[in-house]
Amino acid sequence: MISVALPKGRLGNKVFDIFAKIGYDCDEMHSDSRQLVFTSEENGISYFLVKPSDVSIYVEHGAADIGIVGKDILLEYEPDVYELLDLGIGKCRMCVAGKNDFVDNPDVALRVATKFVNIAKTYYKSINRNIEIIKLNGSIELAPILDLSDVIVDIVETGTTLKENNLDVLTEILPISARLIANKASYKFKTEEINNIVTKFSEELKK
Amino acid sequence: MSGNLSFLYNDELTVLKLRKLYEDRGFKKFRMSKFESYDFYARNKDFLVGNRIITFTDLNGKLMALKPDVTLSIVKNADNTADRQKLYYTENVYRESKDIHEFKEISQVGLEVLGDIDLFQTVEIITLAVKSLLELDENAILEISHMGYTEGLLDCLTNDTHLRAELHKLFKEKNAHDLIKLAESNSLPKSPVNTAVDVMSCKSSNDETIENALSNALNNRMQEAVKEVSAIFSLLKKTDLDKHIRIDFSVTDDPGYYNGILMHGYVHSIPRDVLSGGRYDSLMSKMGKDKTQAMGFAIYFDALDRKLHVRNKIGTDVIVVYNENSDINILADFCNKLSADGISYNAVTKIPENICNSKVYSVDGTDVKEVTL
Repeated sequence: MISVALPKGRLGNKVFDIFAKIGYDCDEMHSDSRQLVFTSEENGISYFLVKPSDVSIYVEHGAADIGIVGKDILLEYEPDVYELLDLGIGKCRMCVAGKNDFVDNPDVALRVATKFVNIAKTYYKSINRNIEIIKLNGSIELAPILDLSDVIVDIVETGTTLKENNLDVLTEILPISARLIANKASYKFKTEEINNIVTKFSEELKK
Repeated sequence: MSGNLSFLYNDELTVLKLRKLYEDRGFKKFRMSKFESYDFYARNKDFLVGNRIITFTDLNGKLMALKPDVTLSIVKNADNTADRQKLYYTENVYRESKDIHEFKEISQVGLEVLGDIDLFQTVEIITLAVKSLLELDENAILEISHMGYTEGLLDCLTNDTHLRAELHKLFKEKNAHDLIKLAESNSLPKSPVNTAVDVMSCKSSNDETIENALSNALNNRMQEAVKEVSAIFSLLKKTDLDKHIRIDFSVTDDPGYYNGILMHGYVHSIPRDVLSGGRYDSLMSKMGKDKTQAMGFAIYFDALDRKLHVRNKIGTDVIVVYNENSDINILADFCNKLSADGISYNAVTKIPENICNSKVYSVDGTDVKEVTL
């Protein structure tokens, strides 16, 4: 039996559809129940839906053997897991954004508002830029508008929200997509089953 | 070893079993003090897991540290005149926990061989590592790799230190997709990249893994690494321990610390490795030792707490209840007899709650009788 942590929402649904196609369907997932764990004894798999940012925690601590998680979460929290496959779906970009008329003054520390403290610190360290981090948990776009920060580091999907708030992407830090991760110990004991899933998943994504 | 030791927690019992295992192979117990000079760890920070150390000033004004590591102290105190020293330890170390961002006391049991490490000694250490894991759980896997293989592969890819570190990280994650992207963006040669990707995928058997690694070897360093692992595995096959071995040449670790065989041990239902170790000659050289070879492993009991910190037996076999009317001589005789028969008892004046499976006897006047609850 392989347990899978799926991210709640659109990405989780899309990934489950792929699991179903490659032979890991689960009838319970199609029902409208309030269940938290969905199991298919027949296909040897059980699923549970968790907050996207918690997927890597469930996998790292062995509550799930494998999981689907965005690369942003892996870079931010650096969990000790195997990253076995780039699904190439759920694509977006980790960007630096600011007001349309923003001009950087390298003589003072740049005020950066973000949810992704680790990613922002690593990026600015790589370009030797002195920064001051302002950690926010949501509505990041508000920060430069209210002059709480000079720029933001956040995920950009289409850029529509930025445009509507007179903000622009200043730099693209890295592309983001969904990854299939595995708990290291689970991988040792269930190598064949997990490799089977990875191979089938990879083949299905190429279609 | 259980029997009358059934009052022990399983982790305590396991430590005793491990001690016997190591003593039976000629290992001597190494005792160290709780504190070391901070300066000692500061000079050898590269060999420590994490950077945080608990420090305090002693009564002479010297900055001291609660030990974050045992191996460093063992190597420091190694006898330079001995050809080979075989030592084991059961100690607590103090390290920062990534999860709770606080210091944690971690109970460790491990062994080190310092001096000449030949093939036989290497196999002995690996055998003891597997047997140690089996003391923890019968469903155990010891993963074996060789730093020479990944380092040899990286030699074919790049000499850039920063890039090597990034490639190392991707190896550890079995992240073939990002490794390919990184190689493309840095115009790294294709053949070693293909080898890296191939080595990352697990083969169906250890023999196939060895064969595949040898055919993929691109330089002498990689070849030598495979040959050493192959020789070790051939010897392990003479025992029935080989079924607990998983060879994976993509597993790597800090190249500043390890330089040869690498081991990670896993047991069922624990989500991370509980044993790690390998060959660490560079530490011996750094410490100025004449004999520059060393190998060992440690078992981390913090990960095993939930699994092992349980007792097979809770409470005593018998509860003896007495009161002010009890004949003291009858009570003493009864308790002495229980003790002589090897029966554990707890003499109380009031029946405790949660007495589990204990039999209860009452001593009332000169009358001793079993009480049914």
